[in-house]
Amino acid sequence: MYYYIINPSAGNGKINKIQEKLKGVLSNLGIAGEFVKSTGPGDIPKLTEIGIKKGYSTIVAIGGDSTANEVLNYMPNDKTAFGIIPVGKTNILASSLGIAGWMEACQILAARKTHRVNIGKITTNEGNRYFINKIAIGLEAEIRKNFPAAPKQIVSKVRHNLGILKNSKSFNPFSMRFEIDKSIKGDFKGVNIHITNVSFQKGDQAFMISLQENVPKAEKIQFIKTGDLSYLSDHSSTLYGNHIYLKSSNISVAADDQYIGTTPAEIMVADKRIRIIVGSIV
Amino acid sequence: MAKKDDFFKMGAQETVIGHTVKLKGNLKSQHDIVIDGELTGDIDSESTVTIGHGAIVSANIKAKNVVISGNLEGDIDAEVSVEITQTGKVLGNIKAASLAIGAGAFFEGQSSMKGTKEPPFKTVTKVQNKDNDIKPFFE
Repeated sequence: MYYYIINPSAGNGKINKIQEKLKGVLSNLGIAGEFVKSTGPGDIPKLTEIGIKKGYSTIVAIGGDSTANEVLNYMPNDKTAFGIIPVGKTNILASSLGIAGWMEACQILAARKTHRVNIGKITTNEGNRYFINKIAIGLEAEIRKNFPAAPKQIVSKVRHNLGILKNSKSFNPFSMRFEIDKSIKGDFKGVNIHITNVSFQKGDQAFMISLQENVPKAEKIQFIKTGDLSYLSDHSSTLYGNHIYLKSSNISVAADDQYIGTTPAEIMVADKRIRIIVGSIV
Repeated sequence: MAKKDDFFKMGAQETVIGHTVKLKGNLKSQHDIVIDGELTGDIDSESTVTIGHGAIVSANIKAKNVVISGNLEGDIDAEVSVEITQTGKVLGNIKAASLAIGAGAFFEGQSSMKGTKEPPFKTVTKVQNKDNDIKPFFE
């Protein structure tokens, strides 16, 4: 019993082009179900709750990382399985679950190999939020706040990407005092902190903490074309932990690519687990 | 020296402490640890600990291999090897199966070799002199 939540604006509307084909593939695989579409902000949580109330065994997010994260935040426990069909601009989460594209995702949903995973919980002044993939603090979170979605039109897209470049160049490094697992105290000066959920991987620790000191020079022409933010992952430090406390104030925070507020922030393993349909765990 | 349970266990990959990071606490990892910043605390690694050029570390280190190109104040207990490169400074005692010190490096402390009951030069080698008189090479 599958319940599909479609974000029609994900991937610059890619879903609208492949929707009929996708439904056909799912039907051929014997996993057709109810399809619902979000119509605006705040709609995905409502649709998720409706799907759960209706008793569907599997809720599937059709979109990118932000769609998947919105659905995830309203999954109550590990009784209902959570799946992803990646059609977004950023599909890092799907990729970390061994799902390379939408066609492969359909096969994976049909195979229904599930994996119970720990998810992260972040608490800021704005409240609690669950995340499955990554918390970004600093420049990347600023970019998520100021440039939430890339426009479709080429001219607007170029303007958008130039704005990101300008934002990156003028961003001043910040100082952050942090504590890991109440046993390590640290100070860091730099432009980005990433806290990635690595509980999928083998190891004692749930989170990888990556610190970036400087913004490397982006290849300007290439960046204007692609808007690829991978230059924000040029980390100089890597630490691990289960409980991270970021003490310094007023630094922007994004959860799974969505701006959520500012520090101070506390990040820990959530007291609920979710059941995810996976390809292969990376 | 920290108690066994006081150690902060690191993750499944290499741990790196960059130039702009200062840490206080004990690190434990099955994997490599690289320190280019500052650390006060003890280090326990089942692999290689590298103290980079310019790093300032005040720690006792237990590891398989240790390479020091920065500043270390503390004792080293290495299962296999310790290398102090030409920019390395160590103030502390070293226990290792193999020790290499580069030209220009600073080391103040005692060193002892692991895995050998007695120094190799105690195994007396004898050479014959011109008069066929047997004399020990090492006394």
